[in-house]
This record gives sequence, structure tokens and C-alpha cells, in this order.
Amino acid sequence: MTHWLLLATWVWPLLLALPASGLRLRGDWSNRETAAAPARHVPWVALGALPALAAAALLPLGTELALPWLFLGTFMGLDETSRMYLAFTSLVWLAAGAYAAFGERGSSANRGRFDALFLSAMAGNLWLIVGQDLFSFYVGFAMMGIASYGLVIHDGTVPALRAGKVYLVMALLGEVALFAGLVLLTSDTGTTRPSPVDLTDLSPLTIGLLLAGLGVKAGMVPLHLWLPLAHPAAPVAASAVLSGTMIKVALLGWIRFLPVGAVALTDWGEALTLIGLATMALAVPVGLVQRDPKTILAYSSIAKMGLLMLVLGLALAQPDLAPLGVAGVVVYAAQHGLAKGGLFLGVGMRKHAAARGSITQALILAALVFLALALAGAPLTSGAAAKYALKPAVEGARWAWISTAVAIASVATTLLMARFIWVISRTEPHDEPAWVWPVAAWSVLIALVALFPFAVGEPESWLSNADTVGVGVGIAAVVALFAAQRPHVLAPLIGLVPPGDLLALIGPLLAALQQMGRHLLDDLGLLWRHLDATATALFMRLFGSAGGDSERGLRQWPVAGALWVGIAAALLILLLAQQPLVAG
Amino acid sequence: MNNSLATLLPGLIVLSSMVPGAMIFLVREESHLLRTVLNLFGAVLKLLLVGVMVWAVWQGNELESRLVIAPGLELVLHADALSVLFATLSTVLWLITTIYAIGYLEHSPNRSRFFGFFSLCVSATVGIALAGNLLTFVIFYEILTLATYPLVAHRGTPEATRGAKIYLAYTLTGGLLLLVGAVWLRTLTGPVDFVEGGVLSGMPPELHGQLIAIFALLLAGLGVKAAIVPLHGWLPQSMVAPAPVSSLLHAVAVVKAGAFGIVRVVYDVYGVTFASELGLLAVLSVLASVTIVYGSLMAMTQDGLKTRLAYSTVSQVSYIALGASLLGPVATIGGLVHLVHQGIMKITLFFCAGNYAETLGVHKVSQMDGVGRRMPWTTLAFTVGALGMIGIPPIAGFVSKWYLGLGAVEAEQHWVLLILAASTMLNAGYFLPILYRAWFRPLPEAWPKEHVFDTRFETMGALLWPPVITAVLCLVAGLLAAAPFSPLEWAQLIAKREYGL
Repeated sequence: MTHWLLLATWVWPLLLALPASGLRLRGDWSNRETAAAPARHVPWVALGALPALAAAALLPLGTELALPWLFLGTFMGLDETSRMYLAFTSLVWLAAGAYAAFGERGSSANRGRFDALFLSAMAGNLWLIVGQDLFSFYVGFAMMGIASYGLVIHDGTVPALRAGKVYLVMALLGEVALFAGLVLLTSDTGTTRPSPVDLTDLSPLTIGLLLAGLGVKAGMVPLHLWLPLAHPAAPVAASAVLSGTMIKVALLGWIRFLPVGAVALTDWGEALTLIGLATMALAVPVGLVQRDPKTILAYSSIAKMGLLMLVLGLALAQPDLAPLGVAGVVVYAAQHGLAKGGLFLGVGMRKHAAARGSITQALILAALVFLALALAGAPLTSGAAAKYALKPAVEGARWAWISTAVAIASVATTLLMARFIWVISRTEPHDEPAWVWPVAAWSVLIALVALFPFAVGEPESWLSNADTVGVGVGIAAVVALFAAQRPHVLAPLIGLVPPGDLLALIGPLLAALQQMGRHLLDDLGLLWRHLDATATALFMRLFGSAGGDSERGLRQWPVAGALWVGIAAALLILLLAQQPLVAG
Repeated sequence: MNNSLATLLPGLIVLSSMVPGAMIFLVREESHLLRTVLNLFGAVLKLLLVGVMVWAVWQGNELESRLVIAPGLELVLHADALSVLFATLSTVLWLITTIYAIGYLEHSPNRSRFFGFFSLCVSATVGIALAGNLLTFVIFYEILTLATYPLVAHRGTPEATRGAKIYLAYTLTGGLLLLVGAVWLRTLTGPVDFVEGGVLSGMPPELHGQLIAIFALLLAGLGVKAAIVPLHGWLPQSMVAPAPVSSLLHAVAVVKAGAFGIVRVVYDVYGVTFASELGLLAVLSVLASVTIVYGSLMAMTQDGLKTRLAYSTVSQVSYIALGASLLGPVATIGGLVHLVHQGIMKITLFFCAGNYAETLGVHKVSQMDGVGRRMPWTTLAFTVGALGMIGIPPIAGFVSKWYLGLGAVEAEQHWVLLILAASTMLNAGYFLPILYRAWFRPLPEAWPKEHVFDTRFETMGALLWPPVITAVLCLVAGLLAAAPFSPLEWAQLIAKREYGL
């Protein structure tokens, strides 16, 4: 019976969405105030991910649940990869859910809407993890993508709406590409639950569409444009899951639907590695010159996704690296999900949870430093353990210089985290009451990050990675000292590249295209209305007026109708009279 | 199954709404209760009879009513899997629409006339569904045209009269072309019933030219009702009709009758393989694709909610024709299942548009700011319908899209994926801004024309429940697509029989 827990992972948050939204069937609709707002906000949203956590903790590996009647045939199961994903995803959603329930402020109607969308996105995220067939993946992916739009624009500010628009257009393009990719995959393999062996004969078009479709979600350069806009624009609880869990599903999709380890896709693998490298090379420098701590974190997420794309590309090109490579990617994704979720929530805590100068604020800052170190991969943190898990793939690569590149990237990440700490320590807090529950949930998340290396990592990994982080911290310290001494030298660099980087370059082009499209549509509408009016006028002149002369009389409906009946009758007579030419 | 029942059932199903319909004409205007009882009696009786028919056809029984009008001219009503699909759709939605219409027209004049024609209209639709040969089909097709005219003109305003006349001009011309085509075909073949797999594949090659010309005539005749570009002009004009009529026109009766006719002609007259050999399917697929994109583009330019939905219908109904135009069972399933899915999704959207108009006086997209706060359940239903139209799973529309896409790839017509992608983006382009306005914009100071009903619900119960029920149907049709007796399962049954698998 316990295998039904797999179904509960995503049905439970969906069921909660309705009560969480606060919608009522009956109400006093004549009163604008009470019609618009439910009476009270109930924090259902905090409970959404509980069954998922229970499933990850309690169900044995290999648990399966086949529901052939559900959707287009649903098959749920728990393997190594999906259990790891389920564990970190549910943890981040739980912590973010506690934050959403008790930390997000605003009118109860708005909070109800936020909670309902949050739970729908959660349901999608969990469904695609436990579902082993491609329909489950696509349903979850689409539900998550559409609901997240509502999360991104929740605040309704101008930047949020702009970010929402960019996000929505790109997410839909990604979904359309993924749809086409999955259709082709089904046609190529003849199954909707492909094993790696089934996937060996994918056509190049299929692989390209899958890479691009999921690449949008993963923040693959140059499809990452939405990410540095949307993640900071969303409310804190939503940013945490957007960056912590949602972008990771792209990796899961690639692991499931590309022939990783089954066949050597040298060209595609090397391309993915180079794209990952380019993603890192773009994200780190651009991230360093940002002002908003959440934007810095968003660029850091892009960089980390670049690293994982790089490793996955290596596994795709060299099947012998695949088993260890995929396992490493999953562990790293888990570690990054927890740490990044914690960092985003921490930004909210830093801003609102306590007054400046209080002990709590000092503790929050200390926790953020710890999380930043974990993300950078300092020894004895989860980052070092996760990095160690990637080692076999990176060192086994045919391109020897990959290790060097990864080491440089690692130093750069440390710098990015140093920049984050610099910015966040200067952020002015605005104290708000009642932060006990979000802080408690956050503390649990941090405790898990702290325990991660000892639970998941190899003992020899604990002290690894000291060199790159050390170099990074050293450079950061020098730069910080310099910046403190001579602020004006580095100041012009900050804000040099706006969030969304390439979007600023192609922005004018897009705007022009949009303008053109709008004109075209308007003209089309105008032309059509004109033609329509002319045709209608002509029509009414012919049939509309009740004239006196016989000419007009002929055109009236009774006469026209009689004519019609006459023609019809003539045809029928013809029909009855004539012998068929060919016997039926 | 009892033999006499098997020969009577199809006829009874048509009569079950025609007789109460005729009686409603005689009911005095103020006899609200009697009219309601007659309406609902007809609707429920028909639903029960259709239930029996579904079971019988599932078991593989043949149901057929024949009536000889003249020697060599027979009225044939025949129940096969395809007719059951359309008959069930129109019967279920008719019941819901009747309830909605009773609420919607609560205090307006000429209700007896309205409901009389309303019942006739559904009788004609079911007649089209059950028609066993082309001539029976044409007869009911014409009855449908004539029965819907008074419904479109119901309000009696100058625009309504004009819209109705345009509607009549288009559909009568279409009907005439269809009749000419049907008669021409009969002179070649003699009396021929619809047969799964088609009947014309044995025709000698020298007649192929004529067959192509006949197909063009039939397609032009059916294309008017199915609103295939450039024959779609009447559809936006007939938006002046009351909301229940629009729902019926778009989701159940008129537009569907055209699309269903195309499916019949392709599969059961020509036979899909033969039609493909004649090169007819390629033409149809291009026409359908152009319509899909054009309808969506036009929808983006409309501010009127109902006209936007009307253009959306133009676009979406051509999915059915597109499915019919691709060779292979998977695409067939996609097109057929969309017959049902488009119906339940579009009727939801029109019910909601009617609710906004009737409750708040909101007729335009630009007036919909904050409407989700004032009418949350209607707007939830609208959201489900709109997301389904875009093809977001797990709502029904995705199932159609998936099978169409897969069918296109199996038929080696990869370009169709581009059409589907463009249609998805365009649908999102004209539906998502509505959802954004409804849920995220603040409420206006006052609504254009707010009615206060004597209820604690957001609007009158008879208006609120129909869209909520159909929205739930949209979700169920998607979530339980692989369950027995789902529209998808039924479409698979039809495809199996059409391809003789």
C-alpha cells in the first residue's frame, strides 16, 4: 500500500491548492472589499511537500506504481536519481513553503492566489520527478512553468511584469520545443517510457529539440535571458524554488531522455560541454557586477548549471564516464538546490526578519556566509563533497584542459559568493514581526546543508577543494580591501551590464520586431474590418432593403428561399430519374 | 439486443428532442414550468437513449433505422462508433446548455419560439451524427441551417437580423454546393451508405477527375459550416446571438456539423487511403493549417470577448480537419478526439463569456480587469478552458495536440509540428493576457452593468454551474484520457474500425 505515497506526492499539493487559495463559493459580492478578499489566510501552503519528503525517506528503491488509466498512462517509480531529486526538491519546497506561509506579507486575496500557484508549481515539480514516463514529465513541466509565471509577476511591479513577460515567452518556446522533441522521441523509439537502450537511435532533430527545450529551463546560454530577470523579481519563497529546484529538472529530463551512457554521442556531448563552459564564462563576470543580491544569486545559479551541463556533456560523449558522471551531477544538483534555496530564503530573512544590529541579524549573516562557502565548495562543506562527486567525470575527460577550466570556474564562483556577501552585508534590514516559523524552517535547511557531506559524501572529499576556494577567498579579500580603500575605482564597474545581459543587446531589436508585429496585426485587423464593412454593406444592399420593384422583389428572402427550394427540387428529380452510371 | 429496438433506437433518439421541441412551440409564453419540464424531459430522455446506444455499439451491435421516402431514396439513421461520438457529445452538452439557457433567458421575450428552435437544432445535429448516407446527411444539414437562423436572429435588433442574414446566406450557399456534390456523386455510384473504410476506392480511374471535383464541392459545402478560411466570414458576424446559442453553434451544432461532415466524407465515403491517393488530403491539410494560423492571428486583434472566442473556434475546429487530412490512425485519433475536446472546452469559454456579460455587463477583454476577484468560479472555469485550448496538460486539449503531433510525424509530415507550435504560441498570445487581466489586475471602481441576483453565489445558479461542470469535464477528459469510455478510448475504437485494424 505504501506505493500509493508516490501518487500522494503530487496529488496532495494539488488538493491543497483550493483551500489555500481561499476562494469561497458564497459571499457578499455586492461589497467590493469582502468580495475581493477571503476572510483569513490559512497557511496550508507550508504542508504541501510533506508526502514527497515522506516518500523520499520511507519508500524503498524500486517502488513502482502503474496507473494506466491516469492521463495517457502514468507510471511512477523511485530509482536512485528520482529519490535524490525527490529528497532535495521536497526539502527546498518545504522550507520555501514555510516562508510563503508565514513570511510573505500582503492582502489575503493576493496571498491566496500566490499559495495556490505555489502549490500547483510544486505539484508539477514533484509529478515530473516521481513519474517515469514522458507524459508525466511533460505535464509536470508545463504545470510548473505556467504556474511559475503567476509567481514571478506576483508583486505586480513594472520590473516584475517585464520579467514575467520575458519568462513567459521563453518558457512557452521551451515547452513547444520540448513537446516537439518528445513527439519525435516517441515516434523514434515507439515507447513513452524509454530506457537508455531505446534512445540510441534518436534523430539529430530530436536531440536538438530536447536540448533547446530543456535548455531554456536550465539557463543555457543564450537561452538564459529570463533567469536573471525572473528569479530576483519573484517573491523570496518563489525565487528559492525557482533557483533551487525548478531549473534542476532540465538535467533530470536530459538524463532520462538522452542516451547517456548507452551510446557515444561525441558531437552532441562536446557541444553541450562547450555550451556549459560558455554559460559559466558569461554568468560569472556578469554576476560580479550586479547590485541586487538576488540577481547575483541568479547568475551564480546559471554558472552552476553551466558546470553541470559541462559534466553531462562529457558523460554524453564518453559512455564510460556516464555512471559516475550522472551520479555526480545528481549529487551536485541536490547540494546546489539546498544551498541555493537556503541563500535565497536568507536574503529575505536578512531584509525582514530582525532589526539591524540584533543577535538574530548577526546569526543570519553568519548562516549566509556558511551557505555561500558551501556553494563555493569550501572544505568540510557540502560543496566540497559535491564537487568531489564530479571529479571522476572531469578528470576522465578526453580533453585534459577541462580540469583546469573547472578549477578556474571554481575560483570564479568563490569570487561571486564573496561579492554576494559584500552586497548582502550592506543591505539595510526592515524589521517585521512574526518570523519564528520561517527562521525555524530555514535553520533546518541549513542544518541539512551542514550534515550533507557526512551523509552523502566520501570521507576523502571532506578536505578537498581547499586550493581553489583558498585562491578565490584570497583574491576576494584583496579586492575587498582595495574596494574599501578606494571605492571610486571599482564603482564604475558595478551595474555595467544590466540583469538579463544579452537581452539589453537584442532588446531594441526585439522591441522593433514587436512594434512591427503589432502594426501588422493592427493593419490586418483594420484591413479586415474595412473589407468586412464593404462586404456587409454590399450584402445589405442586395438583401437588406425592402424595395418596391420586381427586381428588388426577386432578391428578397421569400423569393430567394423559393428559388433555392426549386433548385433543390430539380436536383432531387434529376437524382430520382437518372440511372446510376456505376452500380454501388 | 432486441431486434425491433435496434431498428427503432436511432429514430427514437432523433425524435426524443424533435417532439418535445414541436410541443414547446405551442406552450404559452408565461408557462415557464411546463416549458422547462418539456425541455428537460427531452434532454434527459435523449441522454438515456444515447446511453443505451453507446453500450450497444460498444458491444458491436448494428443499429439502423430506415425509412423509404421514394423508390431508391431512403432516409437512413445508422449508429456506428463515429456517430456515437458526435451524438453523445451533442446530447450531453445539449442538456447542460438547456439548463444554462433557461437561466440566461429568464426574463426575455419569445422563449417558446427560442426553445422550440433550440430543440429542433439539436434534433438536426443528432440526425447529422446518425445519418447513414450522404442524402440523409444533407437533409439534416439543411434542417440545422434553418433551425439555427431564428436563434441567431432571436434578439431582433438590427445587428441580430443582419448577422442572421449573413449566416443564412453563407450556410444556404454551402448547403446548395453540398447538395449538388451529393447528387453528382449519387449519379456516379447509385445509393450508397456510409461504410467504415470508404466506398469509392473501387471506382475506375477515368472517373477520378469527377471524384476530385465532387470532393471540392462537398468540401466547399461543409467548409462553410466548419468555418474553413476563406468561408468563415459568417462566424464572427453571428456573435450577436445570445450566449447559449453561441455555445451551441460553436461547440455542439453548426461548426461541429461541418467538421463532422468532412470526417464522414474523408473516411466513410472516399476512404482515407483513397483520398490520399487522389491527393485530396494534401489540399485539406494545407487549408486546415492556413485556417489554424489565420484564425489565431485574427483572434489576437479582437477586443470583443465573444469575437475573440469566435476566431479561436475558426482556428481550433480546423484541428479536426487537420487530423482527418493526415494519413494514419494516430492522426485520426487526434482529430476525432478534438471533436469532443474542442466542444467541451469551447462551450466552457462561451458559458463564461455569457456569465460576464449577464452578471457584470462585461463584453470586452479590456473590461475584464480583476474579474477573477468578483467571479472566481466562472473565471476558474474560463482558466481551465483557456489553458486547455493552448494545450497545457493535463487538460483535454493537450491530448488532441499530442495525437495530432505524433500522427503528423508518423505520416512523415513534420511541418505540422511547426503549425502546432505556432498555434500554441498564438493561443497563448490571445488567452493568457485575458487570464492575466482577470487574476492580476485590480478591480475597477464599477462594472459596466452589474446585475444583482437574489443569491449568495457570484451569479445565478443556473449560469454558474454549467461552466463549472464543463470545466470539470475538460479536466476529467484529460486526466482520465486512458480510462475506459473516455473520448480518447472511443476515438481509438473508431480509428481501429476505420483502418480495419
